[in-house]
Amino acid sequence: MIKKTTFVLIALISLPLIAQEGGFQSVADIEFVNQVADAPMARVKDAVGLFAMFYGNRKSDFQNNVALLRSKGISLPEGMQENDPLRRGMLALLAAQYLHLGDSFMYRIFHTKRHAVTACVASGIMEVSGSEWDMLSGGELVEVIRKVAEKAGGDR
Amino acid sequence: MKFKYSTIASFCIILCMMMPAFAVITVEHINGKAAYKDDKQWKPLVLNQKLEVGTKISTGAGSSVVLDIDGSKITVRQLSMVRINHNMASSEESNTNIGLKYGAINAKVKKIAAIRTQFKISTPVATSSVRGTEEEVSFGPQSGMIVKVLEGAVGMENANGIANMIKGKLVFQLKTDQARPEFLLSDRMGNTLVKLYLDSMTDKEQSMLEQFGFDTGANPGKFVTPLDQAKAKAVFKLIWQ
Repeated sequence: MIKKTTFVLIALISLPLIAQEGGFQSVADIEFVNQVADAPMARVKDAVGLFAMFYGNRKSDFQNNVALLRSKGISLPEGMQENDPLRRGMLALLAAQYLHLGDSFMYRIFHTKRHAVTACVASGIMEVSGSEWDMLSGGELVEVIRKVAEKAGGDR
Repeated sequence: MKFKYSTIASFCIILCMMMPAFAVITVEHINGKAAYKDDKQWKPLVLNQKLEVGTKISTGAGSSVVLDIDGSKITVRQLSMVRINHNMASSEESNTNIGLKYGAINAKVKKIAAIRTQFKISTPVATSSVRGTEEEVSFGPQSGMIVKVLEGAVGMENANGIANMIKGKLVFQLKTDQARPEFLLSDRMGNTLVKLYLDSMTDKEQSMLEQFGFDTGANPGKFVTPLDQAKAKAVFKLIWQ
């Protein structure tokens, strides 16, 4: 009887704590988005983190996020380091893989960064100006991520 | 003594009447993840929470928040950050200013006939003034500020003082590195018409043509359309194979 009561008491005490933990997790994601938006230069780890956030399982470790994306069929080009500056082509490649874009015939065939940019421009995710080599700011990255989320049907 | 108390009481009443009241901002609906920041830390937003001037609100992926500002509804879309810059209401006027740092919001502003309503949405590049209108505003460093009016009319003004009235199918888009907005009908024209200009035209002439059409040329007796002008420089190359 005492055991049961203890168990129920522990469960009652821990429930709000678990809920709060969830709340902190959501705040951590929002804090991360705001940190990225304020950054003058976006890094590869920022983009990977934001895409991992779409799956609701973003980790602070870069390799874990890369593994999560790989398990979802989104792969990074070889030799890409977490602190490398994020270029438009790299982000377009991630976005095109996430959305399964087929707007560019050439991207369907070659899967290169250049054609991924074309596919993203054609689907309205990126602006016409610039090239795949442009380095992006944090604000630009968050803007593209928002458009990707809208395109994916997450706009509520 | 009695006289003293009554004087103080009436003075207090007059003072209260003169002071502007702050309109109530309430969190009406939360969908997904949303947080607010009133000092240094982000905290989870809760339903029916009252928000004060200076508070920042941010939403996560696939999330949105609906705020009620004295009957007007603001929907903060996903991955957006807004700040309540100013919010005041009195018996004569209501004045609200929402700052959009990045992302998108939908504003349905309630028109109160008895009082003067000023409802502004500001971004780093321009400010929109709404009255009895529904509008969709978005801002990002690449695409700039985009305003689409769903109902009524919206007055736009950028940092250089250039003003536009947006209604119907007009779309206001002002990029961060530009002094003047894009052609207001560019959203409609984008898929149907191609803008063609002569090489000899200056940027100023092109912008005049965009703003006023082809009926403001130097020779009013003869209408010259952009397509007519383009005919002059069209070169067809036939390749026989």
